[in-house]
Amino acid sequence: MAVVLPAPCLQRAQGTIPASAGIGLRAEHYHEVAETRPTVGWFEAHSENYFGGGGTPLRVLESLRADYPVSLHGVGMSLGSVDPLDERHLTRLKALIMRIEPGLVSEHLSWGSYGGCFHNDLLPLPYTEEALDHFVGRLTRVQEFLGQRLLIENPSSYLEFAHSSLPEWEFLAEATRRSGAGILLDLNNLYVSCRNHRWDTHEYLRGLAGGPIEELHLAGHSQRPMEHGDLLIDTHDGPVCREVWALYVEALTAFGPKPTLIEWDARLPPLAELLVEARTADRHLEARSHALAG
Amino acid sequence: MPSLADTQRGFSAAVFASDPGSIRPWIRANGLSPERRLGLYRNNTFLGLSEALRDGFPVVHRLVGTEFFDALARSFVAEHPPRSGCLLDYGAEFPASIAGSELAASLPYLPDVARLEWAWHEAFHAAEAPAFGVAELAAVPPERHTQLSLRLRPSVRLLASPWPVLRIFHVNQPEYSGDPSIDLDRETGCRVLVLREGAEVLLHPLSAGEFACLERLSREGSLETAFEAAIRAEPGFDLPASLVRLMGLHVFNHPARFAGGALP
Repeated sequence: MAVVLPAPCLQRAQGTIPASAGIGLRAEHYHEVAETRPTVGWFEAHSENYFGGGGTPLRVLESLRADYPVSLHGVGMSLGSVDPLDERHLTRLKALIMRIEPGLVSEHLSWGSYGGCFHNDLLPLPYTEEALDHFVGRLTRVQEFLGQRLLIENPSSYLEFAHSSLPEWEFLAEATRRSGAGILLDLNNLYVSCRNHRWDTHEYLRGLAGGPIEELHLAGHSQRPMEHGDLLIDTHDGPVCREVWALYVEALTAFGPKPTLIEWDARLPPLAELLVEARTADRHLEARSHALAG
Repeated sequence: MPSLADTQRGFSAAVFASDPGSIRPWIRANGLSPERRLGLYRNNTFLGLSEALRDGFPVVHRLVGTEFFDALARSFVAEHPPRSGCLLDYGAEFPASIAGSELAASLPYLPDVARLEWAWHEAFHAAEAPAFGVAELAAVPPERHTQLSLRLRPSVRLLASPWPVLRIFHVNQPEYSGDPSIDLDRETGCRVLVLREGAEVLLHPLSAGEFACLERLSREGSLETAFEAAIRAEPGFDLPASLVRLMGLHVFNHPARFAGGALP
């Protein structure tokens, strides 16, 4: 006999993040987003902003989750650190995952704390075999604890270690291959780091060919003049630049259409401007889908 | 070649202790000195954390201005780097750091303003919990009222100050349009209840007895000992009237418990 299940008490949009454009959820936009329910494929929320247990941030996120898929993007796990894993952090993230049922959960190829002191930053790792083993071990334990596969994002960086023995893309590909994690490829970070360290963007993309690329990030950066030319700083405070859009087209050709986030964290524009950027990404995604279908 | 631990220790020392000595040789110059590169990270950390403090303590920021605030923030960040990867946790020790700072010695009310803002921040993010109010009390047989064990809701914070910090807080809100001047020689201190109602954080003044009563209840749920504390603080304290007022403010958590077990 068929059993009729009661309707779930909380309405939920489907969880899977579609291969369309999404935008970051920022406190400055809470009210407008909650009121207007903009036409956009999905939202990405910074996990730590919702670690509080209650109040406005969680209320907004839960109410949006009724209508949109949501991805949780962490900035504070300090995955590459030699400090012990922060159990409290992981417990809070796990509770948030159970509460929000995100389509994707991501973190960074970076470290952020030493001796229990946190830098509030995504710091570069030396790309050595030792660091790779360490990172893979931590990532594996975190995924087991959370019962959740993670996507790992390439960082932007302003220095390279002399003792690095692997290119960043190889380190990222190997770390995700060995841990079973996916890759969140941030094309702005890729561009910033390649420019700052004189790496070749095409070589970087080729190095990830066949890798588990499951999400793309697009953002703006700024340029700071230094004694020997400009350094690019990953400020997320402006529109996506022409060169990064070009890299985006290259990445879509190489990896196919992927969920794409417009990240804009500082000097936030009106929501409408963010949605214009998202529509530009959607047009590129549609063009790529048509090319594949044709 | 430095190990991963050496690398991170050296990097951290360069950022928090301005000591790039051990990591410097292991950073590629590639057109820009290692010091400049590390300086960028040092800047990111200090600017990012100062900004987080500005967001968490907007009234302190408004009272002292950006330059002064950033000086307070920089010395706080250097002495108390975050101990968690969640920025919401950062700033609990900022009021004590202001109290100990020579910079702010001429502003003796500033630490308590900061304490009030931190209480506001904690209430804003606290867990949800249903209130035990007058209606819920009515469902309890009167003969069992004295056995009630009341708990405070997770968002409740209490603060007593010799300074009029509640008024200072109110007149420094962006939407406040009245006269913002406060005469510190004439205005007295205050006791403040901070709690979240729905999504909104509310601040209420408390009498000496109410404050003592809640302060006691925050440590143990017995109404009897809370009442004793309230009477000591405020002779003539009217428990029934105060309970009705506090229940109306939704201070208490549901389910309240009897000494002997859960409510029916």
